[in-house]
Amino acid sequence: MSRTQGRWRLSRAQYPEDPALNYAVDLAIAEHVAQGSAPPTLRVWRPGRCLALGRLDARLPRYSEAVAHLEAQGIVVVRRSSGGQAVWQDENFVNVSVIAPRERRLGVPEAYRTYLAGVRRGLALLGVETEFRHVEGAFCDGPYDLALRGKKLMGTAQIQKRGVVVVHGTMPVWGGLKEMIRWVSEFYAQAGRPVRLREGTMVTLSEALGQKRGQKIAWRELEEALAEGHRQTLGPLEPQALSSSEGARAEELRSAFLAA
Amino acid sequence: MAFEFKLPDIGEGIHEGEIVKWLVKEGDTVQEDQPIVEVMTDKATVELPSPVAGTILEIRAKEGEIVPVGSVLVVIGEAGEAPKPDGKEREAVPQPAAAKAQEPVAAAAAATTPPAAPTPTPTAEAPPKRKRVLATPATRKLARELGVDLTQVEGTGPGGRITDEDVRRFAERGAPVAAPTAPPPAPEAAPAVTAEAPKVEAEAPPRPAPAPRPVRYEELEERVPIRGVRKRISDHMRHAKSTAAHFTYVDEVDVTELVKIRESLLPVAEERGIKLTYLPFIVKAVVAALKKHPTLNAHVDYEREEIILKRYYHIGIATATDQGLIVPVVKDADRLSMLEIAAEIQYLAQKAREGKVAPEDIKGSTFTITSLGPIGGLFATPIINTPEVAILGVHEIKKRPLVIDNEIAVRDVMWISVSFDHRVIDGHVGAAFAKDVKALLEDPKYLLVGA
Repeated sequence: MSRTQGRWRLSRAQYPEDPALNYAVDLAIAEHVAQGSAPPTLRVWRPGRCLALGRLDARLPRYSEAVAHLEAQGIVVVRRSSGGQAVWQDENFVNVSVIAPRERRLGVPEAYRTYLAGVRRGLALLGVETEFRHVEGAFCDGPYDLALRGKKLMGTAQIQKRGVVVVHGTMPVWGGLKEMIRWVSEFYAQAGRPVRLREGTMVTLSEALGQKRGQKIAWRELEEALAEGHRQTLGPLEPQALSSSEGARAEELRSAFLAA
Repeated sequence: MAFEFKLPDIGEGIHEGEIVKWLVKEGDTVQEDQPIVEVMTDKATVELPSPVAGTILEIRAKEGEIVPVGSVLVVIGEAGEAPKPDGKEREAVPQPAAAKAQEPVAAAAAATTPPAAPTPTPTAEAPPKRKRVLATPATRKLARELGVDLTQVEGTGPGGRITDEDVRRFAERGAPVAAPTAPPPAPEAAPAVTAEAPKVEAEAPPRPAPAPRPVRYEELEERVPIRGVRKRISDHMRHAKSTAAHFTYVDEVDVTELVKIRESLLPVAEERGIKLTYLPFIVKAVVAALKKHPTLNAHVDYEREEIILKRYYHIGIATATDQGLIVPVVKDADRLSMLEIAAEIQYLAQKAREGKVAPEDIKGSTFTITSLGPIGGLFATPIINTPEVAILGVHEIKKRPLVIDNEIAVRDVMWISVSFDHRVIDGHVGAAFAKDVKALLEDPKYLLVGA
């Protein structure tokens, strides 16, 4: 864990106007971290408006038709490199990627616990105590989602490759749940495998905070809390831009993230 | 020596993973620690490295396949070497260690025939001559089913790969079949096991000539995906059964009085358009008994090692629908009258059957009742609707003989089965609860004061 315990980079790289590129950035960073040419990175970023499919969604019986159906309505559809179900993304969401060198075999739950510790601490600093929990009926459900009093707050996924581990989280902050239900349901219905999401199983960060403070949180404040939580649990963290090599690689990888 | 790479436990207590993508193909050379396959579980995609250097001899799990931990994913060895056992282990049926140690053909035979007979197995005598077989797992499976020895089949596919068609053609030609389907050994060869083995000696009638059979039984199967409600039931039940320490208590209830009372109330209910079943009475009895035994109206939060005692009474009613079992909840049942409970159950059951039940109507139960009712049966061992700690099963009401004051009387009798989570509910507490439910149902006038 020596490198992981060392200095972390806080990356603010984000391309909300180009969802595929936005996702490709994580993979570009991961490749560089695996080679040792980039520091371990916490990336806090705002996604653009899109439906981000899970990696295995391409196996759905009517995958292409469903993608075409959404695109016909002006929805950008991208495919994540991580697993899990489709998630809706727009300016109401905040995404977090923790990208760290993997120097030994790492258990799946262990990776979630270790690398989401900073996010959990950051949320706790805001007064939101989360737990790992499987919330049925919520978006992209899985056993290591972060939940607040039984309601899902953040969806998580991870990728372990040679030399690197990437743990992702996506969290509705200012809204977005109605769109989540609408577009995710529509996609899976078209793809031939309907799912049912229930609004009551999910919560936005604003709602979570509103119960305490009755106000909406600013981006800056949220980013600072997440960064501070990360510092307290995973080590020193300094803002730093992507290298030109990482940027170029993200551009190269971009097309692989387009669903159609 | 070929190395079998098995799916490791990449999480804690994870039982299976899905093969996302093979990063190598059969015939490829791999270095130690080179990533060879991506596996997914719990929304984690994990690249697994090869623990050895060598040549990929055989890939045993297809992309998209969900495989249990411990099953062989790939066989790695020296180029030209035959992949060791012929895919048997993929079935994941735990085989006795002894059988595993034997030569492949013998091991396969052991699964279907008594192990004693020392039938000479030709391949066991001359193992090194086995030629390398190229075939997909599905083709190998087909070959096993048809009793075709793949080493004898000429492959017509790319690179000499044996196709399903090759196997079928070979089987139809009536070529010699492999050992697994050979007739069982002569009885005298196995004196040691005759005491246990069923006697199928000379007196056994001759086996009728086999009727023409379809070539592939898979064509007569239907694969129904486990999705939606079924998937939720499946996950929930597995979780419940594997976490709660179930014990079930069964008693019989003399409901003769209850039957009379219900009948007398039927017209009253009907006037208001309500169908009065026995369930509202049972709900009332349960609520009264729960008030007396508060530890049963509770949830368990095992992560935090807490029992959450509920001071409200939301009673779940397990309801059969076309899609499967769902459990609508009668909220605050302690504050509702008998007819209100009846109306609520009727409304919820109807919505459930129409598939229109609102999400909040199937959440938050503190105790669940499952009724098999007229389907009958004596009793069952219901599975607790976790995180609740108990569930009451009620069964058919039927006339049965009971001994009352030393005489046999014909009474209306219903059995109840109550399952408890023994982690948090002791036997005597559970029994006392069941006794109270029984007493309230046997003498329903107490329902007026009990709740």
